Amino acid sequence: MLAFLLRRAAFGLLVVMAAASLAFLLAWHAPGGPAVGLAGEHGAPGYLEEVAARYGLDLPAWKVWLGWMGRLLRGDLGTSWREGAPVATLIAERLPLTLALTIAASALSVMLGTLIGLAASARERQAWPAALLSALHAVPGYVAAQALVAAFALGLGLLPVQGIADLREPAPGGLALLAEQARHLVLPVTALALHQLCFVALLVRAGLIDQMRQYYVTAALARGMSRGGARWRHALPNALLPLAPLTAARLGGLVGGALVIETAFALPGLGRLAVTSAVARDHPVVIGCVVTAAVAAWLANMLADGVAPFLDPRLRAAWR
Amino acid sequence: MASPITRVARWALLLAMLALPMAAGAAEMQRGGAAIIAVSGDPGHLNPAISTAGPLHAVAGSIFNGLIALDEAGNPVPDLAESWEVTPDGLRVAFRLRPGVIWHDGQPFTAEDVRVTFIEVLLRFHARARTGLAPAVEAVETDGPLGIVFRLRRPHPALLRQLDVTEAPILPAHLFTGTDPSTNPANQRPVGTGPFRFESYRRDDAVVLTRNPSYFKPDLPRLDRLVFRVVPDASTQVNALLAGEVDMLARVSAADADRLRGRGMSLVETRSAPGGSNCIMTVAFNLDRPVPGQQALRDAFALGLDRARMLELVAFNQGRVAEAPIASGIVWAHAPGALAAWRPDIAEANRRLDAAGLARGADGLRASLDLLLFPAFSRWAEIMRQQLAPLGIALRVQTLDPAAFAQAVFTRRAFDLALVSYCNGTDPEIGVRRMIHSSAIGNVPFSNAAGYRNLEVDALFDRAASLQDEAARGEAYRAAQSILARDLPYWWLIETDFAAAWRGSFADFAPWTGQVAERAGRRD
Repeated sequence: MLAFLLRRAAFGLLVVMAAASLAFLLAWHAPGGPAVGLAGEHGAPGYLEEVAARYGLDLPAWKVWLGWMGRLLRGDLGTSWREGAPVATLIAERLPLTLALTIAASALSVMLGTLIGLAASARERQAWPAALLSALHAVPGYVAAQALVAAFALGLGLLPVQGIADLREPAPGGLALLAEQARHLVLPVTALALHQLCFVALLVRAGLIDQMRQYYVTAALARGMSRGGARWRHALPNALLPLAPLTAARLGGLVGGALVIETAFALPGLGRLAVTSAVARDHPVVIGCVVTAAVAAWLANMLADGVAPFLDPRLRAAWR
Repeated sequence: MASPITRVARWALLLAMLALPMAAGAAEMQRGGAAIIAVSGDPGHLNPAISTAGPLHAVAGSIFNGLIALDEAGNPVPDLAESWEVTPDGLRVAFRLRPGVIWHDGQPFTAEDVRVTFIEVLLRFHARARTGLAPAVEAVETDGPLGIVFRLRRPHPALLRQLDVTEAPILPAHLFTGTDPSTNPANQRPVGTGPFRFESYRRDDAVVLTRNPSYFKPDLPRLDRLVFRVVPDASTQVNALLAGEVDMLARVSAADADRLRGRGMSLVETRSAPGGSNCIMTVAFNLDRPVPGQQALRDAFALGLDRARMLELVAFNQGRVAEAPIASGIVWAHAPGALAAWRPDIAEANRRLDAAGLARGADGLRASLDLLLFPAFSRWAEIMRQQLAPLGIALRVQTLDPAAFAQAVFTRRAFDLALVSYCNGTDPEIGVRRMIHSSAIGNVPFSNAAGYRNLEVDALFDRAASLQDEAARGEAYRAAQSILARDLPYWWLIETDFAAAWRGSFADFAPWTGQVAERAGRRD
C-alpha cells in the first residue's frame, strides 16, 4: 500500500511540473508584456524595455524556464510583478474562499444530486425528470448566477447580490462573521453546484435504473423486500460507485467554474487572482495559480483512490 | 365659516410648513455614515506616485493630495499649495504651501515632502510625470519649510494642470527618502495628507478608509467611512447599486446608465475622471500600410461613417460628435468646426475611392482591413462594419486585451486600423502631443499610433508648448488642427463622457477628480 501511495505521489509531482511548464509556455508566448499592466496607458520611452529587463523577459525562454522549475522544486513560487508580494502569500489569501466554494458546491451536488437522482429513478417511465436535468446541466454558470441573483437577491431581496461581507459597518467577529459569510455564499455555491448537481443526479438515476434490473435486485424483491427498500439498500451503493472518482476528476472543472462565479459575485478567490494576473501579464502569479489547481486536482484524485476500496470491496485486493 | 379662498390659503400654508423642513433637510448634508463605492479593478497597491494605473488612482486619490486640485472645468484651485506665482519668462514657478498640514501618522507636512516626491519618485516612476514633466523640469527646490520652487528648462504652460492628486500626488518624505519606491512597505499601508486614512485592504475585495479628523480643509470630509469595493462585472455593479449594497458606481457604461435612469439614482456625466479627461474615441490609420496610407481611403472613412448615429446607438448620447482633433473641453485650444467639412456622403466617398483606383473586386469589396480594439469597444466595431459595407470596405475585427493590443499596435505595428480612446487631458501637451508629434512614434504604448509625420504640425505643437500666453497657444493649436483635418491621420469619432451614478440619498460626489468623496455626504 505504501508503494502504491509513493508511486501515486511521484506521478502527481510529475503532473504538477508538467502543468507548470505548460502554463509557463503559454505565458511566455502570450502577446504583450507586463509593462502596460504596470504603467496603465502611459508608458515612457524605453519603459517597455526596462520592464522586460527587470523581470528577465529579455533572456532566452529555456533559461527562465529552468530557473522557475528549480525554484518550484524548492517550493518557491516567486514574487508577483504587479504587487511585489510573494506569490505564495497571494495564493494563501485567496485559497480558503475558493476551497470553501468548491467543497461546498461539491458536497451540495453529491448529496442533493443523489437524492434527486433517487427520486427521478422512481419515475423511470417518465421522460421529463431526465430532460429537465439535462437542460439545467447545460446552463452556463454565469447565466445561472444572473438568474439566481434576479430571483433571490433583486426579486425577493432574501440574499445579497455580491461580495463576502457587508462592508458598511466594521466586520463583526466570531460566529456572526461566519453566519454573514455563509449568507453571502448561498447563491454563489448554488450557481457553481448546479452543473455538477445535475450531472450527479443523471448519473445516479441512470445507475439506479440499471441496477434495479439486475438479478440481485430481483432476488431481493422475491424475498419480499419492497422496491424502495431494495433501491436504497442494494441498488444505491452500487449506483454510487462511479461517483467518487468522477467527482474528483471533475474538480478541475469546478475550479474553472469558480473563476466565472467569483467574477459574477465579486468574490476575492483564486479564480479572480488568476484572471487579473493573466490580464496584467503577471506570469509568476498565473503559474502559481496553475500549480495550485494542479495540486488540488491531484489531491482530490488521491482522495478518491483512497476512498474507493471502502466503497468497493473488490478494489481492496489491489492494495495488498 | 371660512371662505373657500381662506381655506385654500390655509392648506397652502400647511403644505408650505410641511415642505420647508424637507427642503432644508435636502439642502443640509448629514455628517457621518459610510459610503461604498464600486470600482471595477483591483488597485494592486496604494502608491499613486509610481503608477498611472486607473484602478489604483480611483482609490488612492482619497488618501493623498496634490499641490493643486482641478475643478470640474479643469482649472487649477489650491490644494496643498495655497498660492503660486509664475515669473514672466515662465521659467520659475513658486508655490506657497498651506501651513499646519499633518500626515496621517502625525508628522508635519513640509516643502521637503514635495521635493523628495518629485525628485525621487514622480519624475522617475510616474509614467505621465516622466514623459510630460521631467523633460521640462530642471530642478525642484525648497524655499523655507513652506516654499517650493520649480525651475524649468523651457516655459511649460501645462505645469499647473499636471500637479493634481492624480498627476502628482505628494508622498511623505519621512517614509520614502532614500528607499526603493517600488518595494516600499508604505505602498501597502499608505500614509497621506488626504481626507481619508487607510484602514485595511483585501486584494480583489475592498479598500476601507476612515475619516481623517485633522484634515486641513475645515469641516471636511463629511463621511466617517469610505469603502472602495472591487466588483469586476458591470452588471453585478448595477445590481449591487439597485439592491443598496453599494452607494456609488465610479464608472457606468452608457448602456448601464440608461438602465439606471428613473430609479432614484443621481447620474452625472463628466468629461473627466481620474487619469483621463476629454477623451475622444478615435480610429487610428496605420500610415505605414499601403491601403490606410492612402488619403482617399481615410477620406472615405470621414465621409462614410455616420457619427451622429454612433453617438445615439453606441454612446447612448453620452458625449458629442467630435468637432475637431482637440476636444471641445479644452476650450482655448479647440478649433470649433475644424471637421465640419466632413459630412456623411456615401456617394462622394465611393467616388473618391474609385478615383484613387481602389476598385471593387468580384465580391464587391475594395479592401479588407484589420481593426484592433479592446473588448469593451466591440459595439463600436459592429456599427463601423455596418456603415463601411456600402463603401466596399470590410473589417476584420480583432479584440485584444490591453497588453496584447499595445504590443500589436505600438511594438509590432501589425495593424491597419486601431480603435483608441485618446484622452486629451486638460492641456494638449498632456494628451494630444503624444498622438500627433513625430517624436512620439515608437515603442511606447498609446503614443502616435498612426505613425504620423508632418514637420509643420510638429513645429506648431512645439511652438504652442513653449508659449505662456493661452491665446497665442490656442492659435498655434488651431492652425495645427486645420492641417490634421485635411491629412486625417486619425478619424475622430465621438467625444465620450464618463458617467457615474450614486443613490439619491447621497450628494456631492466629485467623479471628475481623484478626490471623489472629499465633500460627499448623506442627505437622509
